Amino acid sequence: MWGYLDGVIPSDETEMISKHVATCVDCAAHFDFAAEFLNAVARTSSRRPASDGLRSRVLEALAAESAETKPTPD
Amino acid sequence: MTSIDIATQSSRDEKFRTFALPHLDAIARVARALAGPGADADDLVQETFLRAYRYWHTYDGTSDCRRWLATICRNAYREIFRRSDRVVTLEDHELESIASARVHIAARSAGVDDMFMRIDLGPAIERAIAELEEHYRTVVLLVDVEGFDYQEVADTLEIPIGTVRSRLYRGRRQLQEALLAYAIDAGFRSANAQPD
Repeated sequence: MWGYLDGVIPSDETEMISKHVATCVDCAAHFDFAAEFLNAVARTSSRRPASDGLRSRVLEALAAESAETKPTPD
Repeated sequence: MTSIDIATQSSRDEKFRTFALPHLDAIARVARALAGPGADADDLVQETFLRAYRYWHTYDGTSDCRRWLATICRNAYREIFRRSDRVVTLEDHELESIASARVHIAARSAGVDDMFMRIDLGPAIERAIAELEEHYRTVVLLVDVEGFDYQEVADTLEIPIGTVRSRLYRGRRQLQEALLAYAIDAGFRSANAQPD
């Protein structure tokens, strides 16, 4: 089921499953439940950006690294 | 040092800003997936970008930069936190699908099989993901939240693609079970549910 929903199974298996789900009410309901679950997880705010504090910290560390390795003119 | 060296340094900095830094948000999420939320993840992000900057000359400019950075992050995580991948017995993928179907059946019996459509489960999903065992949490976050494909996860974590599937499918099923328990405990039974 998960492989089908993720689109990672061979096309002949996908076709076979699609045909079955189209005619089997129980299996269609299982697949719908799983798909709704995946959509809910994908919408989770775990997909949040780095905090401003972390961003500043990384940029400062990179600037310090760059300054340490910056060549000085002759 | 000559002016050419200075110009090379400036070009390197510009390219790093252009190609690597835009992935900061994504790498921060990868770090949280590996190390959990908190200071360890932030330390890991900083270390990742410092290493990437130091070894920028090894980036060929044609491969996926996000994946390159994610691999650095993962290697840094292993070194800093001394984690190694323990062997996970490969599960039968069909068994995991059957187990997930059983979760749906249980949800239907409890009158919460429409919970993902009817209830805002965002905070509950975040908590449940955080409570997954690390190996499952990492793969679920990378695939289902970050949108990495199976091969990207396999390359980043340096595990077989079959292990990615196994951890992902089991992690998803455990997540479903946790959310089912939450929905039942919270009394989210649908008004249209059939009586027991």
